[in-house]
Amino acid sequence: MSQASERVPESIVRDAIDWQMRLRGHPELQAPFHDWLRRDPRHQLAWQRLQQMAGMFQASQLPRAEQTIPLLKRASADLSRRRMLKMLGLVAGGTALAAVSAPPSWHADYITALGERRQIDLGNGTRVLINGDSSVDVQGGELLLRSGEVLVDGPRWHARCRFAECSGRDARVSLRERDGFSEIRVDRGEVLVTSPVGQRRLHAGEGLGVSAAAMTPLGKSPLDPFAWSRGLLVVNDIRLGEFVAEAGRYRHGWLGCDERIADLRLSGVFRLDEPASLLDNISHLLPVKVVERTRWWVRIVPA
Amino acid sequence: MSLHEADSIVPFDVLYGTHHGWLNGWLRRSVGCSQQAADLAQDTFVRLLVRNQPVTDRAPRALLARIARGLVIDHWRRDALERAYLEALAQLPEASHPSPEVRHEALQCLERIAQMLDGLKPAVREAFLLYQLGGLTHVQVAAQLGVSSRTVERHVATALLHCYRLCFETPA
Repeated sequence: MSQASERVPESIVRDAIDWQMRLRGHPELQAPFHDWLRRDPRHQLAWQRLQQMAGMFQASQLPRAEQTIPLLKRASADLSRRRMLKMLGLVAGGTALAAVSAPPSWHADYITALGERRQIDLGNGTRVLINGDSSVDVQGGELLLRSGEVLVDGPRWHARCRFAECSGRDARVSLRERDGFSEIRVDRGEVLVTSPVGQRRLHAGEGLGVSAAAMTPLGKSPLDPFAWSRGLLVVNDIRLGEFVAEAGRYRHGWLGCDERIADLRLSGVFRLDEPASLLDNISHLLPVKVVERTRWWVRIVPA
Repeated sequence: MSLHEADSIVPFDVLYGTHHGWLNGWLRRSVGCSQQAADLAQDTFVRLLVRNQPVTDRAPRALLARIARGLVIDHWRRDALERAYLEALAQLPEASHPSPEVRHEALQCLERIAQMLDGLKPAVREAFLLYQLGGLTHVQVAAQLGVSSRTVERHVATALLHCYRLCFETPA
């Protein structure tokens, strides 16, 4: 390719990107687009390159989008967690975090499918319930939450999540990896939470969000953090947008919520093992309807 | 590249002889497996050879560690993708599992994508993947994610420009 190294001014690349986005779903823009394309060979070059890039994402070997997207997301969370551990290892140096900086060798893996719940035994009476779409490693009796959510219950246990280490005493605790932070909620007992930004002792009823930069006490959640262990989604005055995001964790495909109704409020008890009826229920409770564009693309819109 | 007068160039064999053991140990602590560490140490020196630039006696270990760190991250990325891919396959009926060749190509493809999207914020990545892989319009992506379509447009444009620069403006 003789043009391979030709540099196209950024303004032209941005225009080409703009066209690509506008053309999707607007075939009537083809004529003005072709005018733009003809006006300058550099327009054509930028356009060709964008098409070339798009090709990378449409390779026939890739699984379907509804599998590839969560897959990439999970792998990326995994990678950033490992980088984080590595960074802690380099930065901490002290004894308190020695466990975190120890080389991770992944002895045991438990991976749950969407909608699955699985219980494992850590020994000495500690049980771990793994929520769906989660992954966990067990290393020398210690729990390592890699993604998703677990409920740990036992007399004396040690668990690590992305941003913190937790030591529980007669404690029943939920650990959940959220976007950019780890959420820790205590149902019973006492937990000591340690991260590079500090240390906190949590008691029953308390919650803490730990990110790379801070520890933030969490108020009462509109979502019962322990209900999933009983197969239920229990919500109290939750935003519909948040409810839909939560319900989406238990079913395949994408579940979206129209912005206009995202602030509606909802309370109730829903069964997680009946995801279809879960959606039917909200259309009875609120002025909304469920639109199925495709099997895996479902939206909640105003009724 | 001009060399500082006080720096002297270290021949490759001396570099290998002096630092190979150290690099091996450093990598073993990183990846927790001596076989993988040995492979990565070897790869690091190969990269250095291919790079074909003289190495001075000023902080050669920092240079080796920088190259090795990149390789460790590539290794972790591949590992994470492979796990996630196998998990995804495990949810399909066995009859529809692809052949080993297709799996291999799919993983390479995933690796290129993941590498390219590395460094983008999670929200930007997510919007972009729905747009690019899911084939949704930015308005549909916005509805899906519960954010404004203006935000999605910005995220998608940021990601596209990021990929464009990596593909076409980064010197090989």
